[in-house]
Order: sequence, then structure tokens, then C-alpha cells
Amino acid sequence: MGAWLLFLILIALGFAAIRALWPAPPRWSSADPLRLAAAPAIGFGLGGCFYFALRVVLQQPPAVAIAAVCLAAAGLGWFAWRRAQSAVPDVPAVSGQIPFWLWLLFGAGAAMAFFTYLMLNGAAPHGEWDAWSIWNLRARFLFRAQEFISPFSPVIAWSHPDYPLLVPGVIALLWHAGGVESASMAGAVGFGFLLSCVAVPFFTLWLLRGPALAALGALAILGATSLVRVSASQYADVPLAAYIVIAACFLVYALEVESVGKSVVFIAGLSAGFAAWTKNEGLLFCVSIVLAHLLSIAHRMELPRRLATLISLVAGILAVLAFVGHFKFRLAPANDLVNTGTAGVAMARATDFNRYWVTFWAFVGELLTFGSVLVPPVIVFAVWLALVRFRSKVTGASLLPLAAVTLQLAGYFAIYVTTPQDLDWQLNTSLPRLLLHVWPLSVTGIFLISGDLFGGRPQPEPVRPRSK
Amino acid sequence: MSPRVLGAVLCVAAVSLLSVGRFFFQVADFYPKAPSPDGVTDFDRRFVGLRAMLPPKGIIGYMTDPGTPPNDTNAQAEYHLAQYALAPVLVAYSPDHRFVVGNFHQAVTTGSLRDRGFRLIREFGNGIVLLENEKVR
Repeated sequence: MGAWLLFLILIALGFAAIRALWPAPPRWSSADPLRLAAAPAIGFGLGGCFYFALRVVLQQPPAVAIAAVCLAAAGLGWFAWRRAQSAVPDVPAVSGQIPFWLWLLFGAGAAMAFFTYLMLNGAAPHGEWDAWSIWNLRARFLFRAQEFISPFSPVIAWSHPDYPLLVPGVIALLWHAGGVESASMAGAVGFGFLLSCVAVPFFTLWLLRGPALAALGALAILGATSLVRVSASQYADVPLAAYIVIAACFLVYALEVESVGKSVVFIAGLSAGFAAWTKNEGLLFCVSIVLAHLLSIAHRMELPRRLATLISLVAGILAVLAFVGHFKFRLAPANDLVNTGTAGVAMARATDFNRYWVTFWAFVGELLTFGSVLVPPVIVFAVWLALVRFRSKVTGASLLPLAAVTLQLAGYFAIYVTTPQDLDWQLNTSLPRLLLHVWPLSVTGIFLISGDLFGGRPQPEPVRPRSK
Repeated sequence: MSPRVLGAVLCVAAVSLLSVGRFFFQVADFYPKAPSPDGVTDFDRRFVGLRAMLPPKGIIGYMTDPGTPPNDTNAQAEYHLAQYALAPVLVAYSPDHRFVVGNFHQAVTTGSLRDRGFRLIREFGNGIVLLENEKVR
């Protein structure tokens, strides 16, 4: 009971934090669905940071971490309420028609995905191999241990003790609140991340491009069934995908709807930081999103705004990287990918053309079979774009998601080429999950640049004074 | 809606929905046949008695059936699950520790263990034993 209550408080904490930074009038506002969609992931991220700082670093009793989360939720809720009194109304969502049958198709897809998750979670409540050998194992260590040296011991180097602690931390926090290790709690956290992963692109597309592209985009994201399968397996790949898509969606929204201010960019930065606190690949994403923010510019006139918002983005990232840095430099052993071999060996791998060839064909093969989609997504989206064509005016902001995806994939490619592990083994065991990290963002990016389906019209921005 | 747009919408919607639907029916077909309790919960329960005996921290050795290849996937999985069950005590995949967890699937006699330098401390059933390595006192 206590665990479920704290689970709801964490979602409230996420919503309050977003509304405190990005205020809206007290009544339900047009962008509140987007805020609520991101709330589980942002709340879990904040909860994981509180747990790490208070329990692991300062070694306080678990009750202190729980109390801090509750106080933070109340405090941010109060602050959000204060800011709401003088806030500008959100820009209304793009209006547009959507045939009823498209809602039906989307509803059927979402319902089947939901019940599939429930069945998979029921069949394997502890998750699959990486869950009980890495993520939930670390959560058990945090929950059961009286000290915080054993969880990062080289004796269990196979469990990757250098992996960041957001997901294990939030699960351990919820277990402390309930007083027991509940597998259903880990499943609920996984579902929260899956929900954010689909709902954030859905509401971003709805606000910026209208309901038809939103419903179709969300259905396309669910079409890669590995998203639900990996999420139910309780791996950290879907939480990472959630943070990646939240960061990019909030950034695109802030750039396209200029009246929202830089605090939305700060939330995007926080989410990118949470990505780094979820998996090591998130560190690469922090670089990818900053570069994409600077590079995805359609006109020279966009550059000043990009530079002006860059500080907010980097500040958000650094706020969470402080936790990652403390963990990496004070607690965790070195990562196996960077700790094996010398610079000379890495250079030899980087100049081995055969490794590029093998990696390239592995990427091509995976792109053609990705996600157990019936038809390769590359073909589906090629047909889609050929038929609906691009928007008449493609802004630099709408290109940002695909730029970030391209940079992230280029980074993955370089890591594969230089990996000290057996290349074939590394590709076979990780590439499908690595592509999953950028799948929701890729679909969002494609739908952001697609032509309007049913004549969606942007709503005029409200002309009201900015919030204090 | 123009035929071109309708074709595009149907293309994406049909491929996505059929993919989701196919996976749903595959899982729905498998779910009623899934073992209950699941394998991890079942494995975890085998270690409840042993875990209660262990201190809150420390390192314990681990051994399984003699002749098991070091890269055997099932053996690896069971070792990882043993660590999952016994955390926060660290479980090292080596018998070179004073106390060693034995996870055996084949019958092992006390005598054969003694010949290898191990003293049986307690048997927990289902092939789980706690041993003392007399060479590492």
C-alpha cells in the first residue's frame, strides 16, 4: 500500500516539477496532457536522484528519502500553484479532423499493447535475464544492503556495477516505502516508463501537428512490438528511450512554440540528464541532443534563439550529471568498454576496415528486421513519406529529432567499431535494444516533418503577459 | 481525404496494428501455459533458508555439478540467479572461499565432497547446500 502511494506521489512530483518550471493557469490547460505524459518518467528520475543522494551518498535511513520525496512533491505543488495564478494559457493544440475509425484502430492497438504487457509481466514478474542479473539485482542490493560498497564490487563485474542507478534506485525507494520487495512494483515502474514513451510523442504531435498524426504516430511506435516486450522484461532500455523522447519532444515544443520560455528547454535538459543516469548510452545522448540543438537549423535566423536556449539545455543536463559524476568517480568501477585495452589497441580497431563493414551490415540487417514489425519500418516510412510528402515548411526544430537520432546512431556505430568485446557477440546481443532507444524519437521525427493529413490548422498563440 | 493520404494512413495503421495484434495473440496463446510460479520465483524460493543463515555482508563461494563447462548458459543463468537470491552477500563463481554455496542437480555424496576438501554444514533441499572449504580456513 505504501509503495503504491509513493508511486502515485512520484508521478505527482513529476507533474508538479514540470508545472513549476512550465506554468499554466490553475484549471486544466491544453498542454497538461503532455505534462502528465512526461510526469511518470520525470517523477521517477527525481525520486531516483533523491534516493541516491540521501540513501547511498549521505547514508540516511530510507524514511528520510521517502520524506524528502513527499516534501518535494508538496513544495513543488505549492510553487506550481503560485506560478499558475499569473501564468499565460498554453497555446491550444493544432485543430484537425480525425476519422472515427482511426481512433478505433489506435484504441485497439493501445489496448492490445497494454494487455500484452500485463501478460508478459505476469509470466515473468522478475523480468528477463538482464533484469535479474543487473537492474533488479542492483535494486535488491540497495534495498537489502547495510552498506554501499558490495553493490559495486568487482566480484560481480559481470553485473556491470558501473551502470547508473536511476532505475534500481527508484525501485528500491518504492520497496522501502512498501517494506517488501515486490516484483509488481518493478513491473509498475516499467509500465510508467512505457506509458511516457508512447504518450509523450502522442501529445507532442497532437499539440504541434494535430490529432490524426498523433494517433498514427503513437500506433506506429507501438507497432515495434519489441518496445512492449523489452519493457516487460524490465530492462533499462525503454526507460532510456522514454527520457530520450521526452528530452527531444520538450525541446522541439519549446523551439516551435516560442512563448513557452526557456524553462521548457531546461526540462528537456533534465530529461537528457536522466537518460545518462539510466544507462551509459544516455551520456552519448547528452552530446547528441546538444549537437542536434545547434546543428538542426533551417535558416540562419534560428541560430540566435538556439544559442540563447543552449544554456538552459546544458544547465538541465548538468544538474543530473552531477549525480552521474559522483557515482562514476566515487563509487563505480570503470566501464568494461573503456577499461579494456590501451589507446593503441582502440586505434587499431578504429583503422580495421573489416569492423566497419561488419558493423554496417549488422545495422542494415537490423533496420530491415527491427522490432518484429511485419514490414520493415524503413519501407513503411519510405512509402508514408512518398505519399503524404513533407510539410510545406520544414523548420529546423522539426528536424531536431532526426538529427539527434542520426548523431546517436553514429555514436553507437563508432562504439561498436572500437569495442574491446567480441564484435559479433556485441552486435547480436545489443544492437536491437540500442535501436529501440531511438525508435520512439525516430517515429516522432518522421511525423513532425510529414505533410498535414486532414488540414490541421495551428491555433493562434494567446497574447497575454508572461508569467512571473 | 484524398486516396493518396488514405493509402498512406492505411499503410502505417495496418502494418502497426497487425504487428501489435500478431504479438498479442502469440503472447495470449503462451500465457495460459506459462509455469506458475515463474522460474525465477521458484529458483528464489530454493535459497530462502540459506539466505536467512547468511550475514548481511561478505563473500561466499559458489559451485555446481562437477564437469559443467564454464561457458554453459544454464549454469551461468543459475549462478546469476543465485546472486539475485542471496544479495547483499556477494557470490563468487569459485570454490576458493571458506564458505561455499553448492547448487547441484546430480546426486553428490558427503564423502565425495569431503574427498575434495569440503565439509557439509547444512542441506536445504533441491540440491542447495552450504559447504565449508577446509583448505581455506
